[in-house]
Amino acid sequence: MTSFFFSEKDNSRASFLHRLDPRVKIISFFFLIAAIVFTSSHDHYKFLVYFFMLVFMTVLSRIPFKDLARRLVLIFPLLIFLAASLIFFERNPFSENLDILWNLFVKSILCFLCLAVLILTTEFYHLVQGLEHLKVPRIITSLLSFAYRYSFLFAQEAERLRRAKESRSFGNRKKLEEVSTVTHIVPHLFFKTFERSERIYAAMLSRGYEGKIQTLSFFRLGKRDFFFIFLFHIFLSFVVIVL
Amino acid sequence: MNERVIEVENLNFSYPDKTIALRNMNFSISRGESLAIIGPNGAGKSTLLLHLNGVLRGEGTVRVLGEKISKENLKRIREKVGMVFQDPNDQLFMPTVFDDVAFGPLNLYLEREEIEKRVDSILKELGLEGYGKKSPSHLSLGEKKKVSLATVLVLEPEILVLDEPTISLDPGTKRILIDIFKDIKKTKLIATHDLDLVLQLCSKVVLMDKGTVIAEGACRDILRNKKLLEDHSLEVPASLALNGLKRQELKEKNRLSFSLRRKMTTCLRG
Repeated sequence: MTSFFFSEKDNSRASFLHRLDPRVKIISFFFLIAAIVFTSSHDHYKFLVYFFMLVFMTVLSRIPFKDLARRLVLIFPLLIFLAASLIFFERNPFSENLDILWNLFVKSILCFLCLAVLILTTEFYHLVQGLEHLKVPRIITSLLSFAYRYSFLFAQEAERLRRAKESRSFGNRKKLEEVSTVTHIVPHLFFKTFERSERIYAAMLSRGYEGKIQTLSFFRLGKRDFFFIFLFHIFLSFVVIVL
Repeated sequence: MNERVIEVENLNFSYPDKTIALRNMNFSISRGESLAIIGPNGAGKSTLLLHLNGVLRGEGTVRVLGEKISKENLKRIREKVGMVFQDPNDQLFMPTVFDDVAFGPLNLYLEREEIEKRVDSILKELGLEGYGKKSPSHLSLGEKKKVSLATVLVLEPEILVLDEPTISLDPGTKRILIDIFKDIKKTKLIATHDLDLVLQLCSKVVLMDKGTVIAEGACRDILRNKKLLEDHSLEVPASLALNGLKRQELKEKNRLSFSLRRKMTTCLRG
């Protein structure tokens, strides 16, 4: 799942956007997301400009549109759920509901595209280190880092359990029985995860851990970073204020 | 040579669920020695190892380099006792190999240049050049084991503690790792089932079962004792067993050739 979502290849030299300092990208995309969220739902042309900004950055970073679309699919179940709950539980006039839905859809998709471009042009651990440098609490960055590192193992363990179950169920189980088996697998997985976390903590203590994870950073702001920050934010300010 | 670097006296430990893991453990290890701790699954080997750098604290005394482990000297002790865990996935928790190897030195607050120098040098020494940027989750088991070793050797410990270092490895990778261990001239303590590894690396063996020491002695004396090993779910290592068979075959051959010679002499005389 993580490999489906995050960029794992060392593609730091792939494009201009890839080569940017992660801190610059995080700050820039943060402001772009803020601009999208605070745009009125009736400023359609602004949404169009944001959309073209993202398309331009996608082309610039040479991300295949297919990769972007694959990730975008993830958000649709959530959007459909939100739309359904809005239609069934909110007693607003139809046109008002439609307006809320438009607002929800366009902003969610644009924000999600921002995140997709960011994570497809930045290696995960650079992203975490960038966040650390931007003073995001270390507990959060450590949690992100551990979740990412161990998600692969968690998925492997889940797959092993599923195979073991499959090999003993002979393909003739009813759907309800399948669900009950899964409910047995999940606590087992959590128990294994808990045991692993205990062992990891012991390994950390053995190497001098005293409650603070430290890393060496190799980030340096260059001319290209300043150039990008300047252009990006001038353009964004123009869209937000003037248009 | 006779300076005792680890001394364990009357060590007892129970887990919170009241499972007794160690009962009255006693043993010691001298500087430069390689000691193997062998025993069946659940004998308490890993629990014992975790006492040697103060991760677990039972009743009794554990002395490392003459110092009794206490809260005050924990950091110093952990710097001196490098522990390589059984599952490298437990040991490699950082996003990249470089970060993982640098984790220990960073906790010692070493200078940045010194850390970079040490990390690069240890990766090179273990044949892991160019691995710094890789994520540990994408390495093979053998590579993970080597990186785990690097995370500990980078701290330049005086005592190396290895928990099942060759478990689940293919013979080729196992041989490479054994050669690396042979080259490390430090006091080594190895907990394992792999008695062939013990034969190659250790001079002294402690056999433990159900949390207590059953036997202690020279490596070959313990590993040749078939009954003792079988009583504790172990068996004579293949190489020793083969040697024994070869010796028996040789004896048989000698006996046959002797009887043949005698028969021929009798025939000739007749």
